[in-house]
Amino acid sequence: MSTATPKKAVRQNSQFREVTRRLFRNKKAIFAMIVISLLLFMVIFADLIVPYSKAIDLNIPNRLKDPGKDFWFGTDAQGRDLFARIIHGSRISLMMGIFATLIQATCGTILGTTAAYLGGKADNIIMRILDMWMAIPSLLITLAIIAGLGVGVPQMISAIGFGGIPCFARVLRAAALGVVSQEYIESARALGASGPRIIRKYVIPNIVSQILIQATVNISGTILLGATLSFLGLGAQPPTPEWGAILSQGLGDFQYHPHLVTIPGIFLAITALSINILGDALRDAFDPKLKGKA
Amino acid sequence: MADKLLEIKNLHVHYVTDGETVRAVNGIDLTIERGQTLGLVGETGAGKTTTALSILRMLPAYTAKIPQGEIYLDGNPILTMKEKELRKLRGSKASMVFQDPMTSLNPVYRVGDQIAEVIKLHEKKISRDELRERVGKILELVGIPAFRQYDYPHQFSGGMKQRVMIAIAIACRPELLIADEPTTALDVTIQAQVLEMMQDLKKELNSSILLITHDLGVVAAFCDYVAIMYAGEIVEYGTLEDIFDPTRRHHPYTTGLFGSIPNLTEKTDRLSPIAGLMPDPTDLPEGCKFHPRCPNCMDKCRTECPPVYHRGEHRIMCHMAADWGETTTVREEETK
Repeated sequence: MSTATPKKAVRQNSQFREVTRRLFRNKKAIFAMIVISLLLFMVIFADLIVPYSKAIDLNIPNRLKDPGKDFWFGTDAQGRDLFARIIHGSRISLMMGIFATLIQATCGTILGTTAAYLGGKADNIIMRILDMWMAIPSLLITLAIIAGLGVGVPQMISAIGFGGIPCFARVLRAAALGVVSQEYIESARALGASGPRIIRKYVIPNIVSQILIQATVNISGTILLGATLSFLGLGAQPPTPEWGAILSQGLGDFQYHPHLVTIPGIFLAITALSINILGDALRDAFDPKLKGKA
Repeated sequence: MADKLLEIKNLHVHYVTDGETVRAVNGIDLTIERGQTLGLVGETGAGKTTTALSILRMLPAYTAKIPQGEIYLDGNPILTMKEKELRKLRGSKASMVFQDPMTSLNPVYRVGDQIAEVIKLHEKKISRDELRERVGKILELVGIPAFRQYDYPHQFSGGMKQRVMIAIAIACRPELLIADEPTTALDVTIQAQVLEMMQDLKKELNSSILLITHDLGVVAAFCDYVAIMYAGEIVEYGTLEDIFDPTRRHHPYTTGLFGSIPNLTEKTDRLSPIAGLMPDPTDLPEGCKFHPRCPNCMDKCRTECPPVYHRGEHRIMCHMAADWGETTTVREEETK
């Protein structure tokens, strides 16, 4: 390496650059990212695309219209424009996925890395508690929390977030275990760094890729779980548009007006699918074994 | 000069795992004075690294036990200190360079940030520019251009990484530098460079070095004092001349060690290694721990653990040295 290596050339070798480069080479990932960007666009500019009133105001004369020129996605039993409802429903569905995952990622990362770093008894205690937590089916734990906190979107987000912590913590503990046995952790201790500092500055930055992958894959699961809860009537309450709730409300007229179920269903499926594809692509992009190949 | 920087007294370290006790260090006494270099030599598994780790109390928390012994670093009782106090000493009073430079640097931070990290840990108030400048100076001290502080560890070669490790270790001008086989992972030419650099640094910073190695050549080039370790005990200790002068009396293990090195002036077809293997540390032999492999083994050796005989600074732990007469060990001196 010549001594005159310009700084710019050096920067390009950073891990982040390398990962994005590999990510953009993956065609499936680009497709997924386009879909996700469109969804995000929908979430952010929902009010500009179609006013919120259209999604909730009753319009009985136009009830149960099939998809057509006036109503792109048709209307529901109350005559509300399904297109508007889907657009505004994306807000709750996606936000739910993102915020619940954020709760899971934050708590899971802290618990998992702490357990891995401390090891021994502390590790045992943290992980056994998480095991007990995990032994309860996540839908059940979510239902129990909603029963305690009441029905509503914020309650649902915290319930889903809380229920998913152990799974997250386990994956990240496994990842962190590989890091804490590295010599640079020992070296950091020898230089006088404290436990929390080592976790913050040495352990977490080294497992960021795993956190990111796990979080991405998790978002789709969370969106689906949120839709499930709304479908069961425990999440978003009518007339709030939410994909799961829209699907559930359309079920009564499914036989003659299948668009009420298929359209929100397709949106849910595409969202979950693209987020999963992006998660897989991220995993591939971060995997050093594929360096130069993928 | 007679200022004791590090004092280890009768240190025992055991690793306790399911039903088994590994006796890694069995009652060693060591002192290092300011500005001195001590070489700790021994086979793999002799307890060298365990000794080094115990100086900073970095032994694995759940398995390592220290049933006996005291360690003083510049008067601070390391083994009984609070963790918080100890953290202040680590890195500033004493720091450590690890064996493998490839895995000792955090791969996700720029090298300069890692050096800055130590400085920030021990000196709270320091401006960004000042920090950058100091990091640059330290890097130049170890022979790396200052602008490379913006590079990541994977952009460095092994030898340069080891220099960076040393730079991190000396960033706060520690009085004691513990180097655990700093050159083992490097090739010979880089080894020489790193050692030479450490020698210069020692002069510049007037710090003491505890050099752990199994390379006697490195010891000869670098150390003032040498301690030979075998099965958790220091079997021979003395100045460089004491140990390296073949005409003086030695522990049979030391003789064996030197016998295993090829000699430039003598023509031999085969080296004469020490027969046998290190004893199982969970089941150490009775009497002298070296007796199963010792060519001069006597009946006494099988049953009785030899005391430390010494003449001047030269100490030998062997019944053969009994005619030196002075059997007072450091431990006994304590009780007087």
